[in-house]
Amino acid sequence: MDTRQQIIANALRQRYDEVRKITSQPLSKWTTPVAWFESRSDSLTAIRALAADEPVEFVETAPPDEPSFFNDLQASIRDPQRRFESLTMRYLHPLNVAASSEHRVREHLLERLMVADRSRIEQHSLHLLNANDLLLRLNLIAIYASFTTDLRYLDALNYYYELLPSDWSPNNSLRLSFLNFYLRALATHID
Amino acid sequence: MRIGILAHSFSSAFEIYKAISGHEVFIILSPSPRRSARTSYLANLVRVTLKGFKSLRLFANGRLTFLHGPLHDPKSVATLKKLNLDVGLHKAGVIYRDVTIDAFRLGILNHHIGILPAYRGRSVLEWSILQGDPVGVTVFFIDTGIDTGARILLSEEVDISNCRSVTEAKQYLFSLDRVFFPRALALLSEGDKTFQLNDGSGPRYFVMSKLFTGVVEQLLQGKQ
Repeated sequence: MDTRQQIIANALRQRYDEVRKITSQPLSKWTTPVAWFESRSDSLTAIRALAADEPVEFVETAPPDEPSFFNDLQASIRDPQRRFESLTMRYLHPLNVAASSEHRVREHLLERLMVADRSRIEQHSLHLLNANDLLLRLNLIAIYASFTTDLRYLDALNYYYELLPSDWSPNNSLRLSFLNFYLRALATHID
Repeated sequence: MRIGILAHSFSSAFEIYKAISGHEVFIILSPSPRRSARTSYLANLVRVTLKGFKSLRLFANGRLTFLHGPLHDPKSVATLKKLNLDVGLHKAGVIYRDVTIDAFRLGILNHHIGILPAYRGRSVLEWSILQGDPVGVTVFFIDTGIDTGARILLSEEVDISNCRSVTEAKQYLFSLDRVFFPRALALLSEGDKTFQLNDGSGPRYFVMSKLFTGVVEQLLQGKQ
């Protein structure tokens, strides 16, 4: 590890220790979906299970059509409830967001979080955002951050950890799972 | 060539104006999105006056144009077309629409403080340092995307080892527009239109967190 990597790891370790005070430590290692995990549970239940480090049952299948979903996602930019429903329908097993077929979707989610949503929150308009939609997207990005070396994803989590008021918890379950996935992502990058 | 500097603030445009010679240079001021058109206009009038004789002469010679709406407004576009400009120089904090870009014969140049195509978007100086990559400047013709314009005119690494902070390094790189814009215009004047291709292969970067910005500050200080 060179000096640069050491400085990055030290900063992440400090943040890890800070986040660990408010959420539990992740345990088991996740499997990257090579194809697609088909799950019988619904997306939010599966997110809660993953955050609690409980197994989510699945069978491997072929990934569903990506272009039509991506188009739908773009079309729902101004309709957060529709986007929330689309994302929960697609990611019945949330680890699917890390599948290679989901590259465009992840980039889109990252961009929305780091441009439009960030800007609105910084203009003191957090209350105008659909909290479930925002937190679901943060959870999905946080899950992917554990699978990638692309630091932009981890830094989106850093940013939101610093940005969101600590007493803001409209959906406590999704807020807690976000912190848990963030902790896991930090651990992955420290290792 | 006829060059138009597009800016919200007279002061920033005037610095570039002073650095360019051998061309007919115009300054075009559009209202800041953060201010009303009237307030922007008045603030710029004050700046023109404070800059003294040279800037007042610019005004008198018709080289200074005030737009009363955004750059894509039909009246603004009509004013730009009347000026019959070859190249625009971007100093306005906006994303341009085709209708504005098309008002310039060759297009609008941007001075980007990152190496394209690898580093596009926000905080690219910080991201370059964080990832151990060279820091530099790219001058390219913009399109309607975020640093996706295909034609790169200049792309060079810049030594920032004398800079003690991210803010200082950014200011230094931004100030180099007075060096790189004239060089880019010289290349265009020579008829050297062999552009490097910005193929959009690099990811788009976003504003950096306080955590990673702190890391970048440490890395910068380590280079002193």
